[in-house]
Amino acid sequence: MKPTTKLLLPALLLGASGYLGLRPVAGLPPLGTFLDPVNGVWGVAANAEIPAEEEISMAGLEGEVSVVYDDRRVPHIYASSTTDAYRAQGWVVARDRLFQLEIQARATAGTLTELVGEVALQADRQSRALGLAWAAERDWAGLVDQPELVSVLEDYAEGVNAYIGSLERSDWPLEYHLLAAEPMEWQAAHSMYLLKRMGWTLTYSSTEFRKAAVAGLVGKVAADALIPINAPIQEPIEPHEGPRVLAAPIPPPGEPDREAAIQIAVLDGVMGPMDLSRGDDGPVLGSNNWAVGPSRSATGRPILAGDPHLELTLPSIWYEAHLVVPDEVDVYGVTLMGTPGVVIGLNRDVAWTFTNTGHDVVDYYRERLDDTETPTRYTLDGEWRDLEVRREEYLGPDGALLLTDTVYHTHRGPVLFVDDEPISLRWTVLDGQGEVEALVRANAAGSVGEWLEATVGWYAPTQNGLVADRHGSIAIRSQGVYPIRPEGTTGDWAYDGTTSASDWTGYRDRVPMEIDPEQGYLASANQQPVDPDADDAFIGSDWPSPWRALTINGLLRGKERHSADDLLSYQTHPSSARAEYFAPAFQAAAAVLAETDTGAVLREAADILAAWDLMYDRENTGAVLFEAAMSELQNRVWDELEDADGRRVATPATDVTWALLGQPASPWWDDRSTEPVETRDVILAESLETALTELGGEIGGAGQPGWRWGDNRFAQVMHLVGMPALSRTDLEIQGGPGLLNPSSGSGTHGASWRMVVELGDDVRVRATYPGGQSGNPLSSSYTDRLDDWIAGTLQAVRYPASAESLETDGHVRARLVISPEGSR
Amino acid sequence: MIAPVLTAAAVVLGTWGFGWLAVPAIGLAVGLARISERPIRTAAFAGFIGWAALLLIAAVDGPVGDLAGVLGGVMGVPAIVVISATLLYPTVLAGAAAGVGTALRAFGQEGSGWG
Repeated sequence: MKPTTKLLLPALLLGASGYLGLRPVAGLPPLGTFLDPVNGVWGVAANAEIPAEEEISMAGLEGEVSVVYDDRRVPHIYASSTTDAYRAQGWVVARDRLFQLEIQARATAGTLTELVGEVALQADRQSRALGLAWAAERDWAGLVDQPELVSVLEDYAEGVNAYIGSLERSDWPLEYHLLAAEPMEWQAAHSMYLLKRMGWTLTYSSTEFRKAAVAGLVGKVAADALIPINAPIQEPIEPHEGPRVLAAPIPPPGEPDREAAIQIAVLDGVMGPMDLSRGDDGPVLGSNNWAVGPSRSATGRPILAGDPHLELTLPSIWYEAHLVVPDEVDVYGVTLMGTPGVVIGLNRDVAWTFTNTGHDVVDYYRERLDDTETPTRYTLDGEWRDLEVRREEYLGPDGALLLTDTVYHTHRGPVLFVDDEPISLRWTVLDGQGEVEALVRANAAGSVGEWLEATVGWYAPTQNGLVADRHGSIAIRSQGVYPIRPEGTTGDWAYDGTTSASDWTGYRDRVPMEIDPEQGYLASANQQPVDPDADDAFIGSDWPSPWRALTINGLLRGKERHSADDLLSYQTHPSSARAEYFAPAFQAAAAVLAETDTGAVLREAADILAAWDLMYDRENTGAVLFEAAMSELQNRVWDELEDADGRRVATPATDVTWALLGQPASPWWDDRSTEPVETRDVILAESLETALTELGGEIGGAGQPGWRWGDNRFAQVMHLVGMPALSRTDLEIQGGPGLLNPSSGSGTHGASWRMVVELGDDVRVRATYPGGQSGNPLSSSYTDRLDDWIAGTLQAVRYPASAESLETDGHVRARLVISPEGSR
Repeated sequence: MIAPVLTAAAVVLGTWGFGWLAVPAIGLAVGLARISERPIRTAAFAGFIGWAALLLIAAVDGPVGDLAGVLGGVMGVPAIVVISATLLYPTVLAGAAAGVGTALRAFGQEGSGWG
């Protein structure tokens, strides 16, 4: 062989393997660093568990901090100052959830492309168009006159960065190795980003566009009735005697309003693709909370329960922690990544939790700009005003420029281009903040009154904050800011942006609140907080159907005294107000039709429904038919809401459908695809009959194994970047549409935290969430709480009076001592 | 047998101290210095054994097998493929580098130059 040939082959091989070692190929990270057993991904295995004993040092610490991890891997942080406590919290959170911290901050900042590449471009563009990070940075700058809050966020950030600074490459979380990325430095302002992100999750809505799309098909009057600003069945948070029906009839479909018409594809462009075919069986952010005072408690002690529902992710959205600073704070609960202290939890005196309020806090304005291509000004009251213009650059992981956007702001907020029409939005989430101060102060509250005072500056998202104290007081407040709109408007149609008469004139100076009600309990399930007859200021089209509110109020009214176990059992209670309202209608219709229809299928379906106990426990076999019939019913009734392409532009919630049951001859009942004009009973009966027929084809006839409800509803707890291997899917749960444990069709949303607290001389706490403390998929604490979560049971929480008592009880898993740098 | 073992030890120490690029560097040195009769085999063997030893050390610290399963799941391949890739990669790197080193040495000895 010639010497050149002898060189060529190994050189080619070396070049190829070297290239694979240095450059990402075919979705794989550069193999050299990745596979390196010392510095690469294999180091992730060594960090699966925390060391039993560990000592580290941290710059800027005022004194020694002792962190004791209990047997549920919850860090109990004992510090001599709040400064040190927040630094230590930043450190321990970063150790368990570093990648989550970064990806959530980047999602808000619109810089995901720098981590995962072009695949995130659309999401980043939406985040930046909405200006979430821009608003967070402005809020951060506005904290300049509150140095104590600046200090809280900076302490936390320094803790996070101290952890990042201590890492070797091999210590990085798995995701960084897979993405060939390295951890970014944490900025104190990032904490504000994450609160904005939560505001986006909980309050961003497009009612105006949905209504416009519906009006384009059936007119504005019908659109107002189908997507109402007041819930048709009132079971408000404020104490009341029982549910009340708002009796306004639903008008028939009207002439299409061509002016209002909006294409559903345009709506997708604004809000992202949506599945609008299910009505209220889509992804559910259906949180619950309830509390009983001494008069309704089995032990005479106040008991509080809460289960906020959010997207289910691994690692979980929440992280459990206990912070102790003598004479200042002794708080236990869950924190959002990047949020110092505890968001939902308890101290020795009070316990609190939140549900989303759902009030409409976003309005849209049709703007007129001076130029369609490169605008610089917009019209207001006949004068041109300068637009605020921001140039946004999107970079790839290698720093290459992927795209440039220009984002415009009016005095109201960012401008979105909807079907090329400039529409600005005003949104409380972008307007200001008060959550950091509220949460920090709430952590140290000593009574319900102090907690309410501490959180009075809460801004957005509006939340139903439920609180109880050990003296027996309970209270709920729908806190946050509520816009005052122009007289006679309700914010559910886009405003004329060329006049300042369309602008909000301020925020309401009162919010719904109730303290120590005579009924002895309080409950919220995202329903309209106040009956509009009592106060018509609290409106919105995003109140979910009040089925959960009906169920929990029924359960709480139905028993004189409730134990902690009772409150816990309600969180996954299998009963359904929705079924109680609809099942009789199906049966009655089937009975009517049976007189003229000799169909055996309908009779069989009616018999199955009659035998059903209206429950959704896993072994139940009746719920499958009912849900299939409901789905069929929703599709048939609202067939008028399909556009020319056959796409559903909206599906009214099932409480609207229920209201329509009172109008048996309404034109809405007619199935447009058939010759005869159908009425209510025909559609109900046909829905039931079709449901049974189709189920027979899909899972076999009644009594077949596929009819078990547990085999039909699943939770999907997906990894943050959607990697199936790091997710837990098809988890069999006890839940369903409109249940207190609402499970959406996709299963991607659910109870993100469940907690029951009994207050008194001692505090008894049980809790769990769908995941585990560690973000390392190899850790025994990655999913160690999932089984309890699936079962609907809670784990006993360690809330020790001292580190020593945790030790004495044998619940210590690991110890970490953090010393001031240079002290050793 | 001493040369492969020493080379493997060098791979372990080199990877520890300088990262994966130490592997082709050591392979190249083995080829240039011709420390054994079969430098390519020696270097390839050392790459394999060196990283195998490092993987074993990593396994003492944590669940490497489980990690291979997770990585395999993410990449859509069996865990054994991930382990195999980790061992084959330094084998190829070191062997190819040794081949280059050997060829370069031959050039030098034969004075054939590059042109």
